[in-house]
Amino acid sequence: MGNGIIDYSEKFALQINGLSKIYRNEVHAVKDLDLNIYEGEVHALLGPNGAGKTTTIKAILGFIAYEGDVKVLGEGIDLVRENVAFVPEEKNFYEFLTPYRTIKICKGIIPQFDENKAFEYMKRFSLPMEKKISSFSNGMKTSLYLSICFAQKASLYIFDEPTWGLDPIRNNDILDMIRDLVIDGKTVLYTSHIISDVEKIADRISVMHEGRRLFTGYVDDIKGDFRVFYLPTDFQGLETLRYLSGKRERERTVILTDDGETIERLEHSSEVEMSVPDMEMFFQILLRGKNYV
Amino acid sequence: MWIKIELRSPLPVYEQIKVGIKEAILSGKCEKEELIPSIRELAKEIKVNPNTVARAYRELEQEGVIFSRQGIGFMINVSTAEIKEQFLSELEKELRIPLKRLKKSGIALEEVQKVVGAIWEME
Repeated sequence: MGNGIIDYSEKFALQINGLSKIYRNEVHAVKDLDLNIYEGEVHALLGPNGAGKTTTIKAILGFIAYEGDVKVLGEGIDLVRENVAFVPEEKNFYEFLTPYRTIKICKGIIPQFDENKAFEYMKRFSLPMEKKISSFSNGMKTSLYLSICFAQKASLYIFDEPTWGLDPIRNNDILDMIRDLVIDGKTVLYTSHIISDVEKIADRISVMHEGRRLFTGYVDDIKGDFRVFYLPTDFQGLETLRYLSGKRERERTVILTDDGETIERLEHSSEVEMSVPDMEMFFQILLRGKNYV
Repeated sequence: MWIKIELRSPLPVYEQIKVGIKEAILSGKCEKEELIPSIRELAKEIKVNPNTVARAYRELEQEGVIFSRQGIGFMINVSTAEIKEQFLSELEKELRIPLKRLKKSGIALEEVQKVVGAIWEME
């Protein structure tokens, strides 16, 4: 990349077109999802439980059958699997093994696996090498899984709830490590419902709800472009405003918008209050608002 | 280079980086033709995404505040006096509409100056 300015890559690490998944129990987990992930970005997939995040990841990795088209690093997943590292939501191990044995086994079955790096990370996370994994806490299991994942040389890293069970210090270590991956030119897709983490490391977010994608955009653009307006309940002309989401509260109506005309119209109005949304507020209004206005 | 990133700020992170660099020039911490950290270095130092730093640098380059030289890196392109002028002209732009409104509603210049003075003393 030299010393020039990095341009947002026009290349996609991941292209998802029209992805749908209906499980056998007729749960429509993902509905017609389109999503492109740029090379070199950290992309966070957000949404409440049951939004379809994990199903989307399983489809990307080819773990489930689905409708639609998914290209990973420009190919079908089976051609590039060695170049994709993954941490699942459920951090399952052979619990009767020690971390030491587990890493030795990984060395045998994962291509481009750097076992010294894995041991290094384990040391950094102060994980005991010779204790059975069954004695590990959730946080320790997560740390071990991440050690193995980060020791794998890949182009695309996919993490499903990577910081689950971690204490705040370890949590920040992991965020630093994820950031280091993109500094080294890798691409990261991860799911989370911890908004403060997302604010610290994501370039872009996509918000999913009930299987659909409600929003995709740059974290920085949320503060730059979006405004929240609090309108009195008797506000005239609500139907002429354009907004992404809105919700009625007891004594006011709240709308979230990036529409220039709407912002211009409202920002100098004396009966309307305005604020710049942070991620938490953005997320709340987006998810809670959609049904009410 | 020390830039404070405040996630709770209403200013987007890339804007905070831009302001941070401009303020460093304004206060004389950085001089014209001085080398600034690379995108990766700054990203690591202030713990933000390299793409965010890249966006700030790209806009600073477009504004003529920094320039990139192949094989060397990014350098400051403006002097303290020049950046000051830019700051003041931006301020003028920002204040034009609110001041016009104040004038229209019959508030005197002295009264506005008094408010500005009070804020100035507070900060």
